[in-house]
Formats: sequence, structure tokens, C-alpha cells
Amino acid sequence: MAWLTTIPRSEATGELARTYEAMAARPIPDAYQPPHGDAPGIIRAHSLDPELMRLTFGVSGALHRSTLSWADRELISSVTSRTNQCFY
Amino acid sequence: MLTRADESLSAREAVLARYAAALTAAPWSITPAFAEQFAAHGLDGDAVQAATGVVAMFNYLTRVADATGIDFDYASPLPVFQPDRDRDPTPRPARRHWPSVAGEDRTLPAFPDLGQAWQRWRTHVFDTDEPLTGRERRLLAAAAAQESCDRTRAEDLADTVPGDDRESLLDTFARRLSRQPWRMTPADLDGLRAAGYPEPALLHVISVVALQNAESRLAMGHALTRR
Repeated sequence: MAWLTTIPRSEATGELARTYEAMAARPIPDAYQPPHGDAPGIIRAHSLDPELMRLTFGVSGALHRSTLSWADRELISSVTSRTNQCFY
Repeated sequence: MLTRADESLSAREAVLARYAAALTAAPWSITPAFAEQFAAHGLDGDAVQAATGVVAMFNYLTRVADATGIDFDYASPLPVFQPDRDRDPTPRPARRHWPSVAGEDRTLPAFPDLGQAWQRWRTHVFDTDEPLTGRERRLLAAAAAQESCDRTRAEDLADTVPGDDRESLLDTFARRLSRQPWRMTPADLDGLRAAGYPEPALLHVISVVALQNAESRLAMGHALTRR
């Protein structure tokens, strides 16, 4: 249970529902599909502001289209998370 | 920051890993020596800019994860990572040693689409009036820029200082989330709730702090490795 209020996909309406739908339609590796079927927690964390959600993950999506390989990006993101002592 | 796992990395990957760790923990410490190491291992300017962008983005995402208390929800065959919450942050240098990064070096020119997306993002996070005021956003960004030792951004925001107890709460929250994100607890958000901030405002508090940490690292990483 997150410390900040979040709205799951099943309860989303209006702009949030449309934003969740657009996020789910993006090509995402299986490793990033959580088994619970809802949107990943890091996306739900932005659910109180659908525009913020769309803008934030628009930037991360643009990074995926950079010249680095998926493996390199995973290495860099993993080291960054570990350095910040974060599970994400 | 990597230890035994270093042995399984190629020399090229080890350079990327060392850069990610340094830019995350001590962005002021990046030196031109990194640029030489990147070149020696076949990492061109575009690759380095992309690496800088990924480090910056994950300095945003990890702070959102730590401040909101979300659960880990991906299936993984790897052992569950156990954060070392007792770890001390890297000591910050005296202000005279903070790098200055001019405006034109605060974006990644190799990726104009990314730059435009980032600009739209920062406008929403730093420049909108709801659910936080512009002054509240500047207070949070100022504290995060100072904790990142980002001289240029800190100086731009230098005249925004906490003026009362409520603003001091924001300042304290921003410094904790910037310096020691691994020590965030539910009480950090509860303190802001008790001061009257509703849930959507809390999301924006977190987002402003996280984005300033990301943007300061993007600026310093790019400017200090540019050849």
C-alpha cells in the first residue's frame, strides 16, 4: 500500500482512464508487466495528475529511443537505483 | 559503487556503471577523465548523452518511488534488493566548488525529441500554479538544486528562502528527498498533510524535488563530459 493516495486502473475515469489506456498500449518488455494486472506502481504513483503521468513517461519513452542498447540502459538504471539504495 | 559484480562487466560496461554511480551520488565530482574513458571504450557523444539522460531519469523515478512508498511489483528471478538505509550520503563540497552549467548546456542536443519532451515536463512541474504555488515550487527546487550542488540553478533561485514554518517544512522535505531518499518514511508525507497539503499537492512536492535532482544531474553530467 503506497503512502501517497493512488487510483488503480480499475477505478480510473475520464482523463486518467484514457491516460492509463495510452500507457498500456505502449510496447513494453514482459519484464515490466507486473503480475497483478494493474499499472506498475511507479505509473500509479502519478495517478492524481494524469498530465504529469503522460509527460513523465513521455520522457522515459523518448530515452528508450536513444542510441544506447536495452542492456546498456538497464545497466545504467540499475546502478543508479542501487546507488540511491532504491529497489526500483 | 559496484563491488563484486564489477568482475562480470566488460571494461566498457564498467565505465558506464562508474559514471552512473558518480553522477548519482556526487554529480559535482564528474571530471573530463570520464570523457577520455568513454572515448577509449568506443562510447561516442550520442551514447554518453543517452547515458546521462538515463541516469537523470532514474534519479527522478527512484525519488518518486522512495517518497510515495510504492511496492515493488515486477516479477523477478533475482534476489530481492535490500536497501542499506543506514548509508550516509556523500558529503557535499563547499559552495565555491560547485560546478556552473550555462543554460545551453542543460539539455542533450543529440536528442531534440527528448529535449522537447523534457521541456514540456519541466514546464508542468516547475511553472504551473496548481496544486502548488510558484513560490512553493521554487522553494522546493532551490533546496534540491543546493543539495545537488548545482551552482547555476541554486543562484537562479537564491532569493527564494523559507519565510515561515510551513515553508520550512517544504525545505526540509526537499533536502531529505534529495540527499537521503533511502531514508524516506510515511511520516515525511504525514508532516506535509498536517500542514494542510492535499494529496495532489503532495505528488507535486515530490515531483518538483525529484525533477530538480534529475535536471541538475543531466546538466552537470552533460556539461562536464562534453568534448
